Amino acid sequence: MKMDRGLTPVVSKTLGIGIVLCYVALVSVTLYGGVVPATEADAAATLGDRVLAAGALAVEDAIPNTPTESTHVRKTVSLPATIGGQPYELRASNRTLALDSPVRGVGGTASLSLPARVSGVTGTWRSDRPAVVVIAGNASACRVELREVTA
Amino acid sequence: MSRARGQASLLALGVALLLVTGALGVALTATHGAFAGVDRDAADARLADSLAARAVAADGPLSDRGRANVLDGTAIRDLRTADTAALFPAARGHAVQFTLDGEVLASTGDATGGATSRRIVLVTSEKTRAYGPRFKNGTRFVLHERADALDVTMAPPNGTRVTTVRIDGRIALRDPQGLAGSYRVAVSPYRPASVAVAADGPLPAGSVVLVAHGETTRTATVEVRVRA
Repeated sequence: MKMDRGLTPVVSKTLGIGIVLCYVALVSVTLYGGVVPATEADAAATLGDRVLAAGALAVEDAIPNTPTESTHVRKTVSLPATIGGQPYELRASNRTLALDSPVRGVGGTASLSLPARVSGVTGTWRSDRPAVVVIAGNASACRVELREVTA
Repeated sequence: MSRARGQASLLALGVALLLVTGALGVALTATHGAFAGVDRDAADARLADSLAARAVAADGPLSDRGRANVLDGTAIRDLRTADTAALFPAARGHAVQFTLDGEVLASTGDATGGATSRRIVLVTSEKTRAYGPRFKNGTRFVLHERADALDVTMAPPNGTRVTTVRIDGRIALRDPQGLAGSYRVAVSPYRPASVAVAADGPLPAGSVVLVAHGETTRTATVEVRVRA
């Protein structure tokens, strides 16, 4: 009887530790099995939309409002290095900016709203290099190029 | 008694875990709500902003004489019949609606409930006003309104020669042999111009007719609505 009473706290503590461990395991499995990846995917998709919008805005903003005899603009563009933990690409073609990423659910295209004198938009930005937008031309026509600065 | 005490500590543990679970649930709901609350579609909002910026730009298709945020009233009237996608290539393939003070100017689809961008602009319109005052030597006639240009048409009676037309004290037209016909002269748009005519005989009303070409502006709101 006395020995049984001596064991009571040990049993109680072991039981408590077991319950807490089971609880932590259950919560971890629930979070990392479904909730966290889903939230990360949501965040990546939202960030992708924002990056695409920011890139398109940077290109549109770089073009001077008034046509001048000799247009020469070079502007650095700041973009996040990764989306969803993966590097990505912004590609320009046919007055459209496209986001290309290996992460599922990240991507899309944005049509650029440019003056009629812009004859073409070309080039690619890879997220792991510093990006610049270069505009060269004259009063009647100019070209927009997305360039990477080799570090 | 001792069993009741053991259960009490287990009960406390249970309540603690329940509270932790509750806190976790609240945090997860808030996270989910933050993403669900992104009701402004980034792509639509970006396109609406871009198109609105293009619409009011100094080199945009609607601008009046290359001024930013000033729209040509005629170009806006023409927009109703023009090909919107040709003027705004970025709108091609999207449901875009342009409105001016709530009145639909152009649309490329049903954009109801889409992302919206608004700009305050000036809308210009041409305004002409004709005057046929009686001129006497040495008197000035002041226009009732400001104008950019003035058409001066002279048809003096026989035997009278109009030699000089002064605008704001400066000689604008002069011919000692006599002026006749129609002339366009530029005047200061910043104040109503004054006109004085010098002739070597009497000028009845209608001998000199002035037509003032001015510009009136009104403030309006351009709204661009986009739904992908």
